[in-house]
Amino acid sequence: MSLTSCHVIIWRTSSSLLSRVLSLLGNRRLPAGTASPCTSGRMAAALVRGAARELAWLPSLQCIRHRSKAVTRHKKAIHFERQKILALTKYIAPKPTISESCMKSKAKATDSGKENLLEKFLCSQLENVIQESKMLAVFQRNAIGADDFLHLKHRLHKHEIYIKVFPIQVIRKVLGQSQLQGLLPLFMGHTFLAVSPHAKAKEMLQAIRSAPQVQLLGACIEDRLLSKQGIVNYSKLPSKELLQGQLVGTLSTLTTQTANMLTHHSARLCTMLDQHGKEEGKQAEEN
Amino acid sequence: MAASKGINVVLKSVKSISVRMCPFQQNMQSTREFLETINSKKIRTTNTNCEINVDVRHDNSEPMVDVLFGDGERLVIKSENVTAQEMLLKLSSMCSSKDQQAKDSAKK
Repeated sequence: MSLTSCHVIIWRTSSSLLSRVLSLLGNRRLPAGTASPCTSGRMAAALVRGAARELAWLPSLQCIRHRSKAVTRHKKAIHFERQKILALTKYIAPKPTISESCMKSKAKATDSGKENLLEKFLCSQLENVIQESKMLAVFQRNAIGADDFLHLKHRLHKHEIYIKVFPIQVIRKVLGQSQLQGLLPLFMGHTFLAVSPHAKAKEMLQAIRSAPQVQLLGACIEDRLLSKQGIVNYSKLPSKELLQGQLVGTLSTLTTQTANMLTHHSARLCTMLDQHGKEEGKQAEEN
Repeated sequence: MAASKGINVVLKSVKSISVRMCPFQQNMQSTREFLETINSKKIRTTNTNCEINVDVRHDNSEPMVDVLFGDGERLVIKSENVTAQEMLLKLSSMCSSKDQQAKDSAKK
């Protein structure tokens, strides 16, 4: 009996624990012949329990999986009755009488009283950009790929022309107040700005030639609003120094011309008299 | 802009598309949306030989889209009072009918 009770308890413990319990039992030997077989059996069971308590906590109930499926991720199908009830109680939204395309789009949430800090920051940035740049061109970004766009950016960067992209609300807010109001109708959809501290229209047009998708819409160069044709014409102009030289040249030619005209008659009279005098001298010699 | 994304246009039978617009005018949204959509990679790759010319001018002229098909037919859209979606739908239906015709003639 002692053997069976012992066996029942030990059966639940793991193999390593079992060996340790057995070794403990061997150390605590009972004095022989003092106790009856019934009491000895009880004592043995108590001893084993005590030994087990010393070693580790034994869970009274343990969950053991016997050859079940390893994958437990599969969802069990819902019961058919429940499925039916779920399907019956599903909410079906009433269909609008007018088709969706004819309806007015929902009004967007109006601005709350809070000031958008990011928008404020972008506004200040755009103001800086407008103040610092002499040339400000607006482009339509016709679905140009990101890599092409990056190439274009680098090409423009070589000539100190920088690409800036601002959200349309910010542009409307800032440009509406500045003197660049005329550029506002150009901002629609995907647009970007090309700004430069120098007026380099020629370089810009050259750089854009490699990206045919991008469309130049208009520009403001040195506080002057220009259309696309205007920019092309502007780019064909020679440099400012050369033009100034030309102007100086034309002005000086005018003054020299007037001086020439004024002295022309007297000079001619002089030469005529000179010739006349010579001729008279010759005649006198002959005579 | 997002409304015109779902339309599939196959430019197989199109030879060239020329868009004329004056960006400073009022009703430019649809033309510019159309241009944007036509230039997108998905549509451009259907026919890389198709030329897209854009004429940006400043003379208050009304916007116009001129599509020249491979068989010499022309589709001229005055896009002032038309949405981009309508333009794309028209173009896609024309293109698909042309493609179908080409297929049928090839079978015969």
